[in-house]
Amino acid sequence: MLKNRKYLKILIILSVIFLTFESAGYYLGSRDVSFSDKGNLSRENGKMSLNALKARNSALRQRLKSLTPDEIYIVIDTGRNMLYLKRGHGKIREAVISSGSGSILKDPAGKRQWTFDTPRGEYHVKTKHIAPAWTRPDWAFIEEGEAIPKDPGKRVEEGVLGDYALGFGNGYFIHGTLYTRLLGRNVTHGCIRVGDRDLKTVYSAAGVGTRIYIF
Amino acid sequence: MMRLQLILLFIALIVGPASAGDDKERYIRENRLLEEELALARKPDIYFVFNLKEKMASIKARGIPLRELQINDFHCWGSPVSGNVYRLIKKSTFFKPGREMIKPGESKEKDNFKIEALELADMPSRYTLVLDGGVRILIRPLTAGIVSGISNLFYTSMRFLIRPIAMLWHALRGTPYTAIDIVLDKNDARAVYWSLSEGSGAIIYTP
Repeated sequence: MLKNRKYLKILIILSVIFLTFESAGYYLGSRDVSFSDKGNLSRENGKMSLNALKARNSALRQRLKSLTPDEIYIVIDTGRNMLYLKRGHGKIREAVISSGSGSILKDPAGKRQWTFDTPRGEYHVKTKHIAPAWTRPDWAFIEEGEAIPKDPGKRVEEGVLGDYALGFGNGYFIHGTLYTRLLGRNVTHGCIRVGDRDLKTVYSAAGVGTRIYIF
Repeated sequence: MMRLQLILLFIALIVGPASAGDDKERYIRENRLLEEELALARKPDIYFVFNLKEKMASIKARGIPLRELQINDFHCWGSPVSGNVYRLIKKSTFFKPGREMIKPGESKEKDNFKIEALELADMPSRYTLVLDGGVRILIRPLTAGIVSGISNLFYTSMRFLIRPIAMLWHALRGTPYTAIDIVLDKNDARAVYWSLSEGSGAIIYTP
């Protein structure tokens, strides 16, 4: 009985300590999370009048809004596998695509490794091709379990990239596909596959230098 | 009547400057963040804007909104959010999606074609974005079904039990600790996980 009371006493003391910590932490945490003025930029904002601040706010918003280009640009959503052809804030066309699978291939003979992701960020159309031929890179042979040919001519494969291709650097292209049933899935080695009709529109609308945003 | 007018005038004198002060603070805060975003937009990287005030999350590049996601609910906790750009240190989740390893020559042997890829559906919808400056953003989906309800209950209990202790710990150490809960649609939560990579910038507009 005496032992039980002792344990009970310890339990109560521990509970009180825990609740004290909880309350103190809860008090500190639940205070209004607003804004801290720690930072390096725009100290002058603090010295401005309300009207000047409002004017600056509207100018800054305008500057940010004006960053959206007036010319055509391409937005690629690799998660939803969608391509958007846009001008300003307007959408000209949207297309279902296939993008990188994210899979990894290791070269059993060496130390090389490839991750088949579609690169993200800002790119530009660098090259445009009609009836493109695919020059198979090393990974294409390794993936199929084939020997890598020494003759570069044996790497070239016709008709697999569709009617058009737009290169955006490092061997990545927006091109056509024979596997239209896989549009909407992440199955490529990093390139963007587009259906024939959508590809023709994208090819016609985009010139060399057209911006591409991939996320 | 005269007395009522005096009272109203007194209230106006008290409330007026306070409200102007609030407005000023709001504009200072917004201008700072807009300046930060303009600086961020000079680089070609993808960044995020969590606008809690307008309940909107945006995936952006060069100032262009690439995708906008509706924030269903949010809750802020802890130290004040700064007006700087935060950087994503890591995405923390119980079940991290894994990449498939391709076995050379395997695709030729297979009769049945099976897609082995990392897709949006494989992304978690419940995770924590650990940002620099002691900011943690807990993303979770809307409650739908028993499993989701239980998970959300876990998060709520964590909010009331673990966070106060963490807050106290950080306060004693003098380090900032901010936790922001954001409730998104399940697919939008996955899209944020998909699009944000370590090192990505994030701007947070608080209400």
